[in-house]
Amino acid sequence: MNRKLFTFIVLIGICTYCFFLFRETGKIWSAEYKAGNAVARPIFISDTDMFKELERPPVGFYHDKHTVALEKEGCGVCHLQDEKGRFIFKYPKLRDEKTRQSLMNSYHDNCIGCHRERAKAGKKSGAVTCGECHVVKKGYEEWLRPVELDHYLHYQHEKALDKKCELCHHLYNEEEKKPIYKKGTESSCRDCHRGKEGGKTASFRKAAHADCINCHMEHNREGKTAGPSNCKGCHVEMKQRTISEMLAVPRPERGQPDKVIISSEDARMKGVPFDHRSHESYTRSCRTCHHKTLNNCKTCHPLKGSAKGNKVALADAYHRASSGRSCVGCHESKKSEPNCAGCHHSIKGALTNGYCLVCHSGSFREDQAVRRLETLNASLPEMAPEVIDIGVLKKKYMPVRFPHLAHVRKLFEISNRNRLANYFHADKAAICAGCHHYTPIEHKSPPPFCRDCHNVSFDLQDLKKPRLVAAYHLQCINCHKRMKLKPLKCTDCHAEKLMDKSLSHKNRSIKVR
Amino acid sequence: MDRREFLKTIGIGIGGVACGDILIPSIVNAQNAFGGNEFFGVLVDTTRCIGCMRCEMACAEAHNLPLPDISNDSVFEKKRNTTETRWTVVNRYETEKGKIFVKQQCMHCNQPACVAACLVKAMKKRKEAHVTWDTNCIGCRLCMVSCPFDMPKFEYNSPLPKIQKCNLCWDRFQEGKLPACVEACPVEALKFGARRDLLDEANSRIFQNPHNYVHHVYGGHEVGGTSYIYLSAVPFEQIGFRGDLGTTPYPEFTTGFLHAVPFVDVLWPLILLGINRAIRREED
Repeated sequence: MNRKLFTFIVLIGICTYCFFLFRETGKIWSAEYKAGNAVARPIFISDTDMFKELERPPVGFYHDKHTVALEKEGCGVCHLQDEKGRFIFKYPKLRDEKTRQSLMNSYHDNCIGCHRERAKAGKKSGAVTCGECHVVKKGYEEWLRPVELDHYLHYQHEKALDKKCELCHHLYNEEEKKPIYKKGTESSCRDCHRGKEGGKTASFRKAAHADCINCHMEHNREGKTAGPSNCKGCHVEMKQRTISEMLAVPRPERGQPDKVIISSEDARMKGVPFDHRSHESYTRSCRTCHHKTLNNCKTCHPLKGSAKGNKVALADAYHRASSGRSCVGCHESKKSEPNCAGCHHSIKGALTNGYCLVCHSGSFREDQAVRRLETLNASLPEMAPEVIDIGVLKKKYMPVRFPHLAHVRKLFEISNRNRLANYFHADKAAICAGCHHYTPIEHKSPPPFCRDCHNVSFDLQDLKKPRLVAAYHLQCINCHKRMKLKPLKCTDCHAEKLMDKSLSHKNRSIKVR
Repeated sequence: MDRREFLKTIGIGIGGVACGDILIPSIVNAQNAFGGNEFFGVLVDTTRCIGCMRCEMACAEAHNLPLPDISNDSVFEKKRNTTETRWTVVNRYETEKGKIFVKQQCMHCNQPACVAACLVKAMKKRKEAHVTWDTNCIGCRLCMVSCPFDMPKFEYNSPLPKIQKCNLCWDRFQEGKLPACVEACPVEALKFGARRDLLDEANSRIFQNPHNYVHHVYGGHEVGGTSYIYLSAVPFEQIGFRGDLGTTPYPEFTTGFLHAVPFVDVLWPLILLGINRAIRREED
């Protein structure tokens, strides 16, 4: 009896071991584990709004696998069609969202029902038991990239649809309960379609999928070139253009101004002349700045702020340095680009005294479009030296021959190339101030020496101000580092002094204490 | 109990207490002791360091140690430790923010474990911050065991071995000079000053460049505060610092126990004696 019991327990043990072993190995060989196969990755169904806490792991659903398998039958197997034959991309077909239980049942009835039927008919079929779908998937990460309808994609659609804006853009007529189109009111889909799943207005996800995929499929049926209609076509394989690649793309026409003076009636500052057209080419899409609607900023952000604009006041909407949508925020972010960071890393603060009027000038001036700096020779102070010998460390090294004019020329060239820099560096002193900080730069008067402020010896009282040697090194090294120039060795600047050989460090014999 | 017995008992008691006092370890006081003087310190900004090793050279020159070869970068290929003849070393760490150079030397703790551990008071905490060692070192190496930063180094090759480590240029300090490494640093990655001012400066650098630094000053509170404090662009664990040290000064771990020893030594015999007396008188 005892022996029988022992054998029984051992057998059970072996069985359990084998079960887990094969389960694991089975996984390894299944399709989803084949590396690099982007299609074989699941979309997770969890409907957490309705289900709240899940009893079992969420189902990883292979949409593209189903699309391929059901190609003959078409999307209608799973998705409803309206009277025009357009698909409504929700699943299950008759989704009963009254309770948690009913929604769960509608999923189970549809999935398992279909799998059973197909299995009976002898076709290739899928899972029917709980554990086959509700599997814990490890290492899941977001593999579906969000699609951004940038200027390039928008233009592609414009071209393909012969500028028939009404095919996508619409308003909604509450009385007639149907979408209408009105020229000049085009806006981002997200203006209206930003509700939650299952709200009164379709969520952005639902609206975009329904319109994009249906239209693409229709075009495909008619034999025209069309965009993709499977998941990976848009969310994995499509390459989004960078801003510099989109420069040649024509602007979307919607009656927007070329140039406008941004102002508010009761504002105290003068208006800001704003070149709308050129800014369009610096952005990925209109939504970069017009983050909710295509109206102008003061509609939602009046001078004192309103609940509609999240209580952000007008001045804040334009000047908040931490926001990517505000003027100042976007311009600030440009300062961290290598060409600019050399000087700008040490110039603190987004808005400095006296700089308000650079933008708030009230009107477009002739020269304002491009305030190109005067030619170099005319603009340089006359005594700007060509080469400066810095001999602070001349006891140990030959003096550093600093090519001053070459540096000035380079900085002017960088500034002139960049339109943004060009506008704000209207005064050449702005460029000189990259190094000659806190001191005035004027024609015919040389700026103070570095040593006038930076002590030669270490000052215990003033920890902020580096001493002379450090000031030189920090200024040069930091700028070279931020501008991503090739790293410099000591001897690139400091030529080795030809000293008495016995004194040089290398040849000095090691002293023993 | 007659008069003589009483005096004898009292005498033993006083003697015991006196002996006990000798056994209490020298307790190094916390910050701002010593008549309100400030500790001095050095702020090391690792984002500024360029790895020129001028500090190593200056240190060797100032203390008559063998001169290091700083002519090439090959020394950075593996991590070095300080030795008895190299009191400070610069190491290079490859991090996600590029190469970072870190100078390492004795941290000069506010309440050093090595001083508390030293049997002969050869290791001293000066009231200006310097942790120095005297020639009366007996080579017991308890300081090496106690140091959380593994800084005291032993002259294993010497016939009369002693402990060696950075002394924050105590000799130069008395002459009114800066520590040699601070004076040699060409980019002022090292700043010498009152510790409190340095902490303010360190915090203000973090405040002004929040994206360039991790928001922590190493040595501000570690092991009760150190005189060398560090700023870094990456978490300190990535550039060779221990993150598990806690903020309790190391001597505090042992003071409780060591303080109890004399009391037990003195009071326990007294109690026993008392009990003995009490019992014997009853018998009488």
